Amino acid sequence: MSDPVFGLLAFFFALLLVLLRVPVAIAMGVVGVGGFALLNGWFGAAFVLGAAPFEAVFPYSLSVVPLFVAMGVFAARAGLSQSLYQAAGAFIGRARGGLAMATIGACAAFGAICGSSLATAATMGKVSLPEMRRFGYADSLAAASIAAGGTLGVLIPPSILLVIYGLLTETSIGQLFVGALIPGLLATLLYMAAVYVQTRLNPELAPATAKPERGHRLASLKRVWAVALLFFVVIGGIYWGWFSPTEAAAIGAFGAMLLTAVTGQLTWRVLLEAAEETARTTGMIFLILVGAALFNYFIETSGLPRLLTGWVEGAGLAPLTVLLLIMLFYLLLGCFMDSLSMVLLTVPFVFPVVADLGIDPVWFGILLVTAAEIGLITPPIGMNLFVIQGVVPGLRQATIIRGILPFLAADGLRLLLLIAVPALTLWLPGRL
Amino acid sequence: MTGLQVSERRTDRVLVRLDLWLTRFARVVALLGMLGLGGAMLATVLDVGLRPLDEGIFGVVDLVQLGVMAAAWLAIPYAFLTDSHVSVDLLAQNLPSRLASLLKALGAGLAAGLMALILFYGWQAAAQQAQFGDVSQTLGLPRTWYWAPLLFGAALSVLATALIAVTALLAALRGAALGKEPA
Repeated sequence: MSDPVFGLLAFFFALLLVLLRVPVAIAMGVVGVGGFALLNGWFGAAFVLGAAPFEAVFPYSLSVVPLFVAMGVFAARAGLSQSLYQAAGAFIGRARGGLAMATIGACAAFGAICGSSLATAATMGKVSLPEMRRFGYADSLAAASIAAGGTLGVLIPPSILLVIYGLLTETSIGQLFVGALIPGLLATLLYMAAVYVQTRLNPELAPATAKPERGHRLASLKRVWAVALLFFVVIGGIYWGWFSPTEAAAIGAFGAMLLTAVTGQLTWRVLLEAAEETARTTGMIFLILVGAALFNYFIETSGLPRLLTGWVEGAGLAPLTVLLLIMLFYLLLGCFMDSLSMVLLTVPFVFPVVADLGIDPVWFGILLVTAAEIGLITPPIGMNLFVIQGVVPGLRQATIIRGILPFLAADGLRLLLLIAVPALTLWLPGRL
Repeated sequence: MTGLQVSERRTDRVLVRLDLWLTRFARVVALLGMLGLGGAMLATVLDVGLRPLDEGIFGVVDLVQLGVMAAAWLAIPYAFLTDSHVSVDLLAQNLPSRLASLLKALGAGLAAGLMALILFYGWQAAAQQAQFGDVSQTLGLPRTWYWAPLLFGAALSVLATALIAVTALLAALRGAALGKEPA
């Protein structure tokens, strides 16, 4: 058996271990070490075991990951979700389906300081679902708008997934963040359009509510200025070159902590809970990075990326066809795997193919994260669907799945638009 | 009650107590790691804040790297004990509880093995760097300071995952949940 074929079989073995509930990081690590030892002998594997776990955590550029995690954790505890929801509701809540649109708008704004899809869905779910139920919204629309809106957290910068993709492929994190701005806005608008179309076709899904007063709108804006300021400082700081992504993440984490204090939410208990949550997420992400480092050593040695690149070149497929096939692969994988594991497990052999075809790494990164984001609301294991179910006891999975279909259609349309018009992603980074 | 049942109960009590102590200890260790992250955050913010005055924190990169090494490696055992590491439940959730426990034991056993290997070969690499007197780039901190959280985190992870594996294996053999329910 040739080395690349062995690499491909090992990849499927890692997938099998993952399906057998072995933690993803451990599956990648075990297969990586085992595969490397079989190809190069135990002496080589021992060297990798002594080096990779250190090198996977040590680089300064990786500091950005736990700092953005801390920023998201504190932002979720600052009590900002209520203010954001009220502000969005004050402007668009009156229209039919307006509260669902306001939920999506608030999710986008919250995602702009949070960076985690699950935290966005869980936090906004607690705030907006009771409100939508109070106004007689159908559970299917209410729950699905939160699940879909929550996915915006993974795309709208600062996004942990984009950071990890950037580190893995040595693509500028600043360019990725800036490149995600228009696709993030497009996603927000398309989700709102999905609500609009649904409620036009079936008005019973969402009754109209009373028009808010002008003073109420201004007052609601005053309560969310701090969110806008934090986003402006962090993303604007990277865009205008005031600071590096690590510095921006440190300032963002510090700012989110200050916001929690300013809103009166920062008690010792909250601080301790936030530290524990940051620790759990940090431990989880870094172990995956360690597992991915071990796996990458093996995949590179096996020559699998070269085989795939050669195969694509030999098949004479157009770059666009290859890109569409890769996106299809990710959409299918997203039905069964979480986004972070999916990216870490596949990028080592998919990215060389993409790079060889001359596809822009920033464009591909945004497409990849978009596909991963779609996986978050794709049954059967769309993580956000479970999060909403956890937040609202008694809500049936079938109800959420019924409501999510129009949002999946919006996602499909967005992915096609982003593929058809690369400028949607690349115009802003080009001006950096 | 038979002798076997008495012995099983005693084993259960010991495992549950071990799990409780280890989780508490790992939590404290993880929080110490978060202090490292907090230090890295403050050092960076101060460094940026002092920049307009043409001042800065000397060796901020070294300090941030040390803080993040501590944050990451000291948090990994706690993530094991709180079942925070990403795994896919799609297949396992539809299996009988014995088989689900067996799969959990398999995952934890593999994790214990991998973490033990990381500890063993990491120790050798750290010892080699100590022998050569390797230091950080700016502050000249010994590289062993950076290795310490890795080795400690890996050692604690071996204990944590071994305990999870034994607990899950016993649950699989007896057909009943023991200590923590298999997730």
